[in-house]
Amino acid sequence: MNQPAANQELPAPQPGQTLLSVRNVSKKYGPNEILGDISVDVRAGEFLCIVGPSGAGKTTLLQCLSGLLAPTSGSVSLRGVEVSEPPAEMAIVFQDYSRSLMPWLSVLDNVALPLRSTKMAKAEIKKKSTAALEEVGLAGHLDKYPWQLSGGMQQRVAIARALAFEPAIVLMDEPFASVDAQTRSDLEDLTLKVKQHLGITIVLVTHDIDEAVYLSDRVLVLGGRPTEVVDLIETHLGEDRDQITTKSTPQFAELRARVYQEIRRQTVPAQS
Amino acid sequence: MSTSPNAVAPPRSEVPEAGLGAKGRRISDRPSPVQSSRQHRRTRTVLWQLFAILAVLLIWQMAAVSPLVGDALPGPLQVATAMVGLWGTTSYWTAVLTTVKVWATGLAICTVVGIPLGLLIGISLNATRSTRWVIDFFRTIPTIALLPLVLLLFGPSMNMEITLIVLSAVWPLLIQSMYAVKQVEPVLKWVARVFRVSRRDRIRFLWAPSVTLLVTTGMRLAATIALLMTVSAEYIGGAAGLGKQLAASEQTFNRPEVIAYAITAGILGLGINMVIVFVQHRLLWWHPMIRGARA
Repeated sequence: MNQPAANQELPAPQPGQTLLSVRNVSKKYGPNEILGDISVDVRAGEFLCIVGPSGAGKTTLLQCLSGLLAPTSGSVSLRGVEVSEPPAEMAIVFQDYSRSLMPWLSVLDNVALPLRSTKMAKAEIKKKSTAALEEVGLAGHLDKYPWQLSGGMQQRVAIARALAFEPAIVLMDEPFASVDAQTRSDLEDLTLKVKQHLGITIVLVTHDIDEAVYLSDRVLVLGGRPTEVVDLIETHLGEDRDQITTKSTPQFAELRARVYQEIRRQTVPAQS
Repeated sequence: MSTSPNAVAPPRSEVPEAGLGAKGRRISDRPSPVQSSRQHRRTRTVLWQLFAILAVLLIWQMAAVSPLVGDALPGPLQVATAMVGLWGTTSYWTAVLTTVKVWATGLAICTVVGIPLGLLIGISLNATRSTRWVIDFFRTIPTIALLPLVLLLFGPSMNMEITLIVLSAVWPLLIQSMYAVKQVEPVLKWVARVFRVSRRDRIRFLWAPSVTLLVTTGMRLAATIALLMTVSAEYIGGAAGLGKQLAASEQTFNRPEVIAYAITAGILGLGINMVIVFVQHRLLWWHPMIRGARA
């Protein structure tokens, strides 16, 4: 009787606790084994980057994590609850912003769409969506349509949509792969800032080693055929990062070289 | 003025800029020089279109007076006179109204049957595969060949016409709707799943806008076929309407009236098409094809 009222409102995850647990996940398409036996615990509040060579099944793994795709064996659980459909505490930023936003909805409506399906009042939805768009620096573009914005700005809309959903964890699938280099750095820093500000957990898939090291608290290196975990590295780069100073530290160079070697070892088989 | 490179650009048919009128705000966002050059080009297009009509009338007149055709073909002036004469009769307007009414009823039935059925078949890969032969078989039967049979069943009535309209015009709607469902962007379907968008909102904000282009294209095709079928059924099957009037004028050798009726059917078709294109542009103002940008 004195038990706390149901589990529906879970307390905010404590930093460091396991939030998303991946246990022995594998995925086969017919005879093709894409993912071998993958296990990793994503801690609450961390920034985890999954990096691996092209064609390593990184996107497949992300889809298994989100419940969009069922793994062939193994399981994924979010705070102990098995993930079979995308959970309410999870949001995704897809790679291709030109296809993940609805061209018939304004920027504000794109962000507000997921909230319409909750019990939230209209005014509240508008407030939250506007706040999320302000967070990503798009306060002045609420009434525009996605196709009136640049690629980088469109991806910001997709990030705002994920933030407005107020998830505990955000999965990002190569989110900056289709923007130019300058925009890419800007979006990386924006993502770091937002993560710090809102205290969310982020899992980001990328094939860019610099990006993975720069953003991460931990880097998960994938490789092999079928794909398995090669390494899991703590970066210890601290909270405040800068595109120039962080990237010129010896620590960064060392981490970068380590991940680089591990990936190259996987893609170029040793010759005797 | 006319030495600008725009002057020789071919007239842009099909996609009038008017579609953006639905959200007039965006037009005013554009820098004004672009707008005025567009305006300029549009006037030019209209002038060329008028010129083409005049040219056709002239060729027609020349053919009518040439000894090769004899007096079989009345000239445009004769037909115009006959047309004005017909406008003063109630039988003409009754015929127009009857044809439009039958056409609209037939098309409405096609819409109610074809769109939902097409969408449902399209959703399921199995249904698409298993119905493919049946649909291909029925839609390749020339419906006019079924006219004697349908005439025997219903007589020269509205039911006969509507049966024929549905048998011929439902297919493009059904098929376009089937394809429309398959064109829905898979990433957007994932977005809807991940963000747990309710079924109602999925239908309203994802499925409905996604299928609009192909469904309205199907409407355009179906509307044209339905009108052709209506007039044919009236002409051959003897049901009341424009086609029957045309046949009657033919029997009394009133050739200017025959052509005036044919032109009436043409104007009707043109008007219907314009209305559907207008609606299509209103609904799809956001579409890359219609807003004139590249996706």
